[in-house]
Amino acid sequence: MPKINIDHVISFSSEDPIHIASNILSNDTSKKWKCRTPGEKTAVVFLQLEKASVITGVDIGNEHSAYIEVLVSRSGMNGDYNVLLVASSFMTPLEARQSQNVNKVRMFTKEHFSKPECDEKWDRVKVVCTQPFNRHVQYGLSFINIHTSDVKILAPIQTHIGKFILRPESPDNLSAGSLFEKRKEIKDEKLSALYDMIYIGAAAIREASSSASLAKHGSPVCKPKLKTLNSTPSSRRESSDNSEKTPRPRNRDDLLYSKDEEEPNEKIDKIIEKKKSPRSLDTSAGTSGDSKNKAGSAKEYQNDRKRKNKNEAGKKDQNKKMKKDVNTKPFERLLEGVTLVISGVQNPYRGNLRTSALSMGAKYKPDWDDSCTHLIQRKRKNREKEWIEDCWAQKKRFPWRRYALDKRDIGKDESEDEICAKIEPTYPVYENIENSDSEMDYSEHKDYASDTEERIARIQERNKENEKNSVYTADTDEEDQAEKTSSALSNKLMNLFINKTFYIDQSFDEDVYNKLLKYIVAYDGKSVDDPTRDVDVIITVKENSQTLKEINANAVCLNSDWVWDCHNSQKLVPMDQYVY
Amino acid sequence: MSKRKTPSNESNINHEFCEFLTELADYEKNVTRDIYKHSAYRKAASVLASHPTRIKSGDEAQMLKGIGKKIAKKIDEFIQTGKLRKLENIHSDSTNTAINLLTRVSGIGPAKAHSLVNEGIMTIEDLRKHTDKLTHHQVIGLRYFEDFEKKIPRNEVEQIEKIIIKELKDADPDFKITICGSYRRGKTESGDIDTLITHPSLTSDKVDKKHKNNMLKNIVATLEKCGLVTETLSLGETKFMGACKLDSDHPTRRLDIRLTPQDQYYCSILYFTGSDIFNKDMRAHALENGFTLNEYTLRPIGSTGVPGEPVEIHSEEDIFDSIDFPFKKPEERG
Repeated sequence: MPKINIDHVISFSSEDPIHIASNILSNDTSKKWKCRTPGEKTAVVFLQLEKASVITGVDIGNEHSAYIEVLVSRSGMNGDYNVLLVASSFMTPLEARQSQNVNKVRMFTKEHFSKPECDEKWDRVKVVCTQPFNRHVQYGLSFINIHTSDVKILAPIQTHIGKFILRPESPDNLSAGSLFEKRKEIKDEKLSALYDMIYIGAAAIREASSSASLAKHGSPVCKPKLKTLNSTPSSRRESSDNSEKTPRPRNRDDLLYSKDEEEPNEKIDKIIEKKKSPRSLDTSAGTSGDSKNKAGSAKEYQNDRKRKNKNEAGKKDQNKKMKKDVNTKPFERLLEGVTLVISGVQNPYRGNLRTSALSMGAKYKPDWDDSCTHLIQRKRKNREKEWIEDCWAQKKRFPWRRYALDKRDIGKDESEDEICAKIEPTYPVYENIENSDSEMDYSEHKDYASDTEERIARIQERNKENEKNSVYTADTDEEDQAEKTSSALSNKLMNLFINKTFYIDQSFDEDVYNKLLKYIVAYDGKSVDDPTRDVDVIITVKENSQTLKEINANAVCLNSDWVWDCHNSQKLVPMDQYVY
Repeated sequence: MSKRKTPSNESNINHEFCEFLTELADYEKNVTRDIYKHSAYRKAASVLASHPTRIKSGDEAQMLKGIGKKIAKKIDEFIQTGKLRKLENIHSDSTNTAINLLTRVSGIGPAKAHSLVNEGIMTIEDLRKHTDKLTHHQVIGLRYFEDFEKKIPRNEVEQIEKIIIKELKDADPDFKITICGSYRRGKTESGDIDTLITHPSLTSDKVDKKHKNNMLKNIVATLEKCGLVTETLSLGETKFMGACKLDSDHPTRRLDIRLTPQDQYYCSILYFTGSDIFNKDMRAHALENGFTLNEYTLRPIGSTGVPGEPVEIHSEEDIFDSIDFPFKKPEERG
């Protein structure tokens, strides 16, 4: 069940100066809402939901209330509220008097709700707390999570994980898929409007379905999500026009803004951090297979790009179009979180660089220390200097990876490259990079591994690579053998398993399991670790197939070969031969 | 519930007032079928019964809670004339007396009494000639009419209680048995025997109907086997109405057995212990405190008046406690 975003607190009966009503919107469970004075008859808060939805679940965290009642209404209903959840007990009289168990959490589902209210859509929620047993305490709520089965609802944008503040908006979403789509768009202006709709719709669907999976974990306390989709009201409206089931052309952005940030991928991150090099070879092999298969279209694509690069106006036009969909940050905050050290660059260049970086919100350090995130090297070695300039010139935060040094030093640093391999198996390198400073790159790698933003950046970089009509060199043998022009496409993984939810049998060896997981996720599939859930495909071994079929009759039980064959042929192979 | 409830006995200092008020109450209930007037008279009678001094005037009576202008006037009339014209009129109307009489038969209510009287059945003797018009319950009620009118001495209830407890505990030691009603309130005599039984396997959320159904049937069968229960008026899943007889020297007594889920046991005990006037007071108090109380549950009332989730109750005290009502022992619940 996806969580419904609570837009804001409309009103409340009273609030403590410290424990204010809007605290219940916060995901920090230490923040609560309490009424102003002890012994108030009721404590009431009115919440505005993001959009009218059927409420299928409510999780309530108590703060010393004896009874909590949930009522619902719609903005157009003249303030009449209907009871959704009858006054429910959170403390016994004894507990209330002795102030024991003041933070009980209860989770209510549809069967707890009154009829017919449970089947209607509501956009306002009124929570009424009472504490008739103890007149000497301030009471209220510590949190309320409202769930819906309506998959089109966008999950809330969470901005805090503990004490860490997440960026409220996503960074530039330039990525392989989107670029490809946008190329078509330029060629055929008529398609552009349609594309926009699809693009947003698909993103929303992905968002909703992945947050649904999160909600199913059933934690009463909201799980932090790195949710950064730029959800404007219009995009939401559009998204609701698209049914979830219909497969849509999508791009990597969808992956970025929802799924990659969900649990399964956090898992992958860990795996990736643990598991070292061998994987990257697998994946790059796979992508080269891709490039072979798609060689023809790749050429075409390449040509397109050449044309485009010559046409500066066209490019600008495209950038503008992208911006429409892209989440933006104020220019002066573009490089927020970046701490720079400049090395080997002479004035006045150095000064210019510094000014540019600072004006985009970066921090500057004269000397290298632990707080530094980026090192700007002299031009001969490093394109990172141009990173600043490019960001400045195009008013975009380009992924630093694109400008990174260490591309060839695979032997030394391959383990970190594994993540890139997942999303970006081949690491195209600019020909003007002569050397690499592996040590510096290593230090950078350290902190990117678990950083969503950086992962996004990596994908975007690949996209940028496609955009640039430069000569590509590959870091694997296969890549070299492949047609150079096709390498552009090889960078883009097919979204073969898009809209498919997988369950991978736990009985696979850990290696095999991880590999499967990685490939499935890389091809845009979604993996869950509960076979009873909404699973489309179960990858399993023969012995377990029968049991799993019984557990989930809706899913297809397949041999793992299917995944490999899909991967090898770069298309969705018919399942018939693989079904148990 | 026994047919005729009298809040006072002859020893009471305001007994005469109580008597005529109760009579008026019965009239309102059985003849005019105005349950609110019935309640008003009963309440007034109850208040007077617990008043420590003899009422000397209507004005004095009106100071008491539950006595208004009209009842005060009737008290004045009674003090001055020694009788009540309204009551005289009622007594002079043969239909009224007949209806009142017939309703004393177990199973015959005001409506049935009306229709019987309309058919010309005015006495118990008439009724005995027309048993074809009666249900099984009413036939039994009629058969034991005299017995059922008799009050049950406290020590007889005690003996019956012992038998029930012994028989049922032998069958299953987990049974919890409470005799409620006026017996539990410590009265020296009762109109009937109200037995409340629960078992840990019975909970309101786990509605195992078959199990429940059989449980009460088994209970009744056990008590029949030992010779205590002699008649069954009605037997459902949760409620048995019937008659029992201690031995041949004792009259047949009305016996009710109710099976309640464990979590509703104390609300039921409270309810069936009564008195009904005390219950009304307590419910009114619960409402003032934002709760609604019935024989099953105590629930908080939500902001729009919708009752909430039942409060967890583990004793009668919990109920008093929850609604901030000073605890009263059963004997104090006049």
